[in-house]
Parts: sequence; structure tokens; C-alpha cells
Amino acid sequence: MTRIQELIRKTLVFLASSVSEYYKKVDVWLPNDFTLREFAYQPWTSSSYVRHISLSSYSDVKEFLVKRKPRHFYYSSARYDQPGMPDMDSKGWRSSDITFDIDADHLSSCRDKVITIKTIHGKEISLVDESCIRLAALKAKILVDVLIEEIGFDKRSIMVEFSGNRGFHVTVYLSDDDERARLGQEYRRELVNYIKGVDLQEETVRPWITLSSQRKFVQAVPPTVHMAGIRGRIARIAQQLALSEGNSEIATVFSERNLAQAVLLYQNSREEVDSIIEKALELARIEVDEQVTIDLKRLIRVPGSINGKTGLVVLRLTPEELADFTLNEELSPFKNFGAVRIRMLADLPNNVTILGHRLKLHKDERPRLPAPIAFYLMSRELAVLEK
Amino acid sequence: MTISRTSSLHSVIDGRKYPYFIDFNEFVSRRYGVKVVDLVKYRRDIVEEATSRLIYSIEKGRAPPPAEKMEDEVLSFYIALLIAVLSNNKWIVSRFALAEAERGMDLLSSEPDEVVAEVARLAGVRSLIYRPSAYREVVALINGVPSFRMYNFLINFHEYVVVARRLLGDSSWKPVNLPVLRGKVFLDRNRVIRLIKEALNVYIEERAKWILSSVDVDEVERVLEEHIKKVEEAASKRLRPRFKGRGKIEVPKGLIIEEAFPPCISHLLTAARSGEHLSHHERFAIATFLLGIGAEIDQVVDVFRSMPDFNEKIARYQVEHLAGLRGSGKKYRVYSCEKMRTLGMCRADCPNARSPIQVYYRNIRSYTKKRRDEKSEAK
Repeated sequence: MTRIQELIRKTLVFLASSVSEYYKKVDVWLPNDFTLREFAYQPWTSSSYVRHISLSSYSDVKEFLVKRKPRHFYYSSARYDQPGMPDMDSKGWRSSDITFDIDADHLSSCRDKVITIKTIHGKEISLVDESCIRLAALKAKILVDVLIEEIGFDKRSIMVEFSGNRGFHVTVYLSDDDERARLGQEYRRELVNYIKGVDLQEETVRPWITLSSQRKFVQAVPPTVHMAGIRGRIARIAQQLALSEGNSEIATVFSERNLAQAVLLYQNSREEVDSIIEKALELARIEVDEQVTIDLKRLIRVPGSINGKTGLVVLRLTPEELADFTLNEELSPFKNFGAVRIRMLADLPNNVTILGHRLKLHKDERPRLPAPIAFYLMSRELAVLEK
Repeated sequence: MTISRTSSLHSVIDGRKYPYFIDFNEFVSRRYGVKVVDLVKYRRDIVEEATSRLIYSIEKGRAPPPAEKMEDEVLSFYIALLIAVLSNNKWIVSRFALAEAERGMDLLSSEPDEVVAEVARLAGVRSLIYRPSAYREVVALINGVPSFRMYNFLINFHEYVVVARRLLGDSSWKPVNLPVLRGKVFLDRNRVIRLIKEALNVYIEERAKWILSSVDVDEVERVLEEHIKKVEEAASKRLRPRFKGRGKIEVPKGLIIEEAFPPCISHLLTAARSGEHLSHHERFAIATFLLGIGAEIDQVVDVFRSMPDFNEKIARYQVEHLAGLRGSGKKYRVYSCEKMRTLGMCRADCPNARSPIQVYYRNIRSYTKKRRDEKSEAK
């Protein structure tokens, strides 16, 4: 073993024991029916997953986490008769929650804001601009609104988490006997298509274009929050956009119940309103990862567990917290750890921000850094612990 | 499914128009006091009627208008269905179901909204509700007056996508282009009627599965033997690939034409049938190909029957796995021609072909065309 490999191994062992300490103090969050679910984890010192684990009580979960110190810890979106059975068929699938994943680097406006760094093993790590995380948070907030207002899911059954890396998970918890939990992939695929706005027709957004204006005086009606479907969605988003820009007059266009009044308001500031509608439409198409949602047997990061790619916690968020979400040191479970000296294994490009900090760091530098950032870099395998 | 529906239905739904909603066994025993098989023996006129109804659906894809008397209608529908099922040819059943569903849709267009909603529910669309002005959406102001789109029906979002699944290829059916609010999709009358056709199709196919369990199969089969044969003949004439304009070819569901298999697949098939030991990749290629062109699980399993290590249970499990019915639910696609080449299984140069399935349909097209040309020359 080379010296560097030995340092990396020691670092991973250190991270594992820090994680174990964390799990001694903190409980992860699990749905009540977790005994019907499969658990899986990846250890710090191996690249393979251990699957088909069944845990039967909260104290078992705690003991498991403290002892195994997982780098990544998952539970299944599916419920099974026998979650611990080693092959999928003998598990006996019962039903599944509906899960959504919004990744900052998959947002259409963020695809070119991804920076790739090579680790010492040649592994490629992609870091996305932190402004994209805020956009992903906004999209997650809109998704929750769509799931409630349009799809009709119960508000209390929806949970949102920051994934601990660059995205957000939205889960609709369904009871085992809910027929929607037992429908197959087709239903979920159409749900994704609906949310993404796949095949959205121009005339759905601007229905007046189907009318011929021959000998008729046709006036366009703006979308309003009272409308169903994507027109209502656009109006709700547009209203928020107008309000956040401090333009309350424009915002009223989207909530006006009096049609003649709405049309008049629309005509008076057509350009301004249209540009907000355009922005709202862009936000209304939510780029969820189709593969995640249609998979009936997905493994999901356990809320409250540590994401071993970053050393951050998978954090449950309310819609309000989602609106103000930014990456910062507060998200780290190691924020009270003091400073840690590390040794860099790679250059950090100067356009990268880590937990809100712009850092200039080069290979072989040995800085003392606040623990959240040090743990982040070590988890990323961009740095090792320096004694 | 055997609960009586006859009594409660008479007032609203006309059994003459929608015979499938009437419980066959109960209808027969109540009206005639006999079993189905006896009725079939003595009412040869109805059996003839039923046979021509079924053949009409095979040849024209349509169903005749309702009979004048309700009992004639109900009997001819169910006996036709019985013959279709006994023919043991899935294509005949689905062709019949489609023709009848189509007729149902046509008849619905002159029914009041309440009846439309009731038929939907009977056909299994459980959450559909008729509610006048359930939702209206303003399209524009025309000469200062608001113009609305009216929606008088609503259905649960998740039931909508399941029932409408075959229509969703058309974007206007995608929920994103419809008003969706708090878990409901709003629909207008025309869409509901079109949707009911989908539901009726499924419903009649379900009735087909049920009917066998409700009669004495062996005896009925004996009594209907001649008629089944007649229907099978009509089907075999129609069961050929046909051109559907612009060089598109329509291959009837369930039809597999081995002559059109690409060389790589025919070779594997011959090897499998003669009991040669095939590699994993070879088995994978042949099974995914057959599944890809619409073969049934049984047909695919049969191909492997002569293999030295054949084990019914394992083979079935694996084929079902490839078809996406097991394990992760992922449906496996056939290897591409490129992949077949790298695995050394490609046996011909198929110009511009992406996959063996594409070659298959291309072959069917040229061979159907050749046959058509020969036919017209012979004239």
C-alpha cells in the first residue's frame, strides 16, 4: 500500500467513527411501517452495497447505525411481505410510495454550470454551482404545490428533504392499501409527464389562439389562480414572481375574479405580464428524474442520515424552509467539531464554492478548516486528514 | 362478477344496446329455466345469428345494430363471445371485443349524459361522475362576452391515466392539456364517450375470461364445434399482415410469421428446437426478440423445450423476467444489430437495420407486397 492510500484509508476510518458518534446522538427519521421495508447501506471502506436488510425496531436501527457506521444509508420506497429476503421475487412486493428527485445539475438552465474535478483515484466528481441548488429548491417547492393543488395528494403525506448533496427528494407517503400505491409504472410515468409538462400544447396555455378572429373581437384572458391544470399552476407561480419583484399590481392580474377586470389589467401591461408568464412557464415545468419516480422499488436516503458524498445530513424541510434554502455550514452535523487540519489531494478550481465559501486550495496544501468544510472535502475524497 | 345486474338496470340501461352488462347465466335460467348448454342445443337460430355476428366482427371490425328483441341480443352476444373464447385464438376475442366496444361508443353518442355516466361505471370506470358545470374555463372574451369551455364530467387522476393509457400517445389526451384540480381530471362528453370505448373493450375481454368458468366447457364445445370451425376459417383468412396506407404494415396482434425472421434469429430458433445447447446471450436474443414482436410467454417458453437443460419453472421465470413481469419490472429490449455483430450472432448484412425486430417488420412488408403484386398479376 502506498503512503497516500494509507492516508485515505485512515481518513475513511476517521469519517466512519465520526459518523458513528453522530448516530449515537441523533435518531434518523423513518416511516411508521419501516419494518415492511428493505434497508441497504454502503460502508466507508467498500464500494459495494449491502442490501436486503430488515430492521424490526427503532432500537435495532440505532444499534445498526452505530455499529455499521454507513457511508450511505437507504430504505426502500416499497413495502414487502418479507423485506429481508435476498431476491426481489420472494420479498413479495405490496405497495410503494411515490418518490421524486430534483437534481440541480439536471435543471435545463444549470447543465452548463457543472464543474468536474478528478480525484486522486481518477474518479470524476461533479460540483454544481450553488445558485442551482437554490433553483432546485424552488422547483421542489413548486412540485409540492402541484402535488397538493393539482394531483390532490394530502398535504400531510408529503415530505421534502435536502439530499445532502445537490438535490431534493419529495416523497408522497401512501398507506399500504391506497390503490395509487399499488398501480404500476404507467401511472407513475404519466404523473412524471404531467409534472414535467411533456407534450404541453401551446393552446393549453393560450386557448384563445384556436379562435379565429374573423369578424370577431377576441380578447385574451390571463391565467388566474382559480384555474385548474397548468394554467392555474402558471398563475400561482407568476403571482409569486410578481410579488417577489415587488410588483403587486401585476400580481393582482393573476388572482382577479372579475373577468372583464382581468382582461383589462392584462391589456394595460401586456408585455410585462407576458414576460412574467414566460418565466412562470419555465418554472412550471419541473425536471424531476423520471427513472426515480417510475421505479417501484427505489432505495431512498433515510432522512436524518449522513450523505457520505459530502458529510452533510439528509435534511427534512418545510415548504417555508425550502424557500429560503441555501448551502451553508449549519447543514453539517459536524459544525461544533472545531477546526480540522487536512491535506489537499487535488486542486480546487477557483470558481467553486463549498458550503457558501469560495476557497482557493491547491494540491498538497495543509489548511486548517472549519469542520463542515473539512469533512466535506474528505468525504469527497479531495482531501485527507492531516495529523 | 356474477351478481345480478338485470333487475336494477332495466330502468336506466337498455340491455338491447349494451348486452354485456346483463348476467348471462342468470338471464338464461330466469327466462328459460334451463342451462346455457341446453339453450345452445335448441336455439340453433340464435347460434347462427351469433356466428355471423362474430364473423362480421372478424371481417369488418364492426358489430351489427342491436336486435329488436332484448333476449335475441343478449343471447347472440354471449354465444358469439363463447365461440370466440372456445376458438382459443386471442386475436378473435380481442377483435370481437373491439367491434362491440365500438358499437357501444356509437350508441352512447345519442344517450343523455346520465346514461353515459352510468355506462362508464358499469364498464368499470369507477370514479367517473357526471356533474353539470363541474368545471368551466374561460377561453377568451369574444366581442366582450366570455366564451367558456364546459366540462360536465370528472374522474380521478390515477384512474384516468389507467383507462386512457392507449390514448395518451395523442398529446390532447395527456393530462397536462386537460384541466386537473385536486386529484380530478375534468372531461367533456365526447372524451368520456371515447374513454368508455377503451373501458368497454377491457370489460368485454374480462367477460370472455369469465364466461368459460360459467359453463360446462366440454359439452358446449361439442355442441358448437361446427361454428367454432367456421369462425376459425374466417379468422385465418383475415389473419394476415395488411398494408395500411403509406407503406405502413399492420400485423394482427398475436400473429408471428417465422418466414420473416431475420437470419440470425431463424438460425437460433432452429438450433433451439433441435435441442442444441445455446449460450446465455443466444437465449437472451431469441427470447427478447419473440417478446418484442408480441409472442406470448408460453410461446417463448416452448421454443426452449427441447434444450438439454430445459426446466419449465426456471425457463418460465426467466422469460417472465425479460418481459418485465418479474423482479425489477424492467422490460428487456432485444439486442441491436450492432450488439449481435459484436457477440458473433449476426449472420447476414441487413442494410441500415438497427435491430432484428426492425428487419422482421421490413421482411413482412416486402413479402406482403410481393404476395399482393402476385395476386394482382394473376388477375
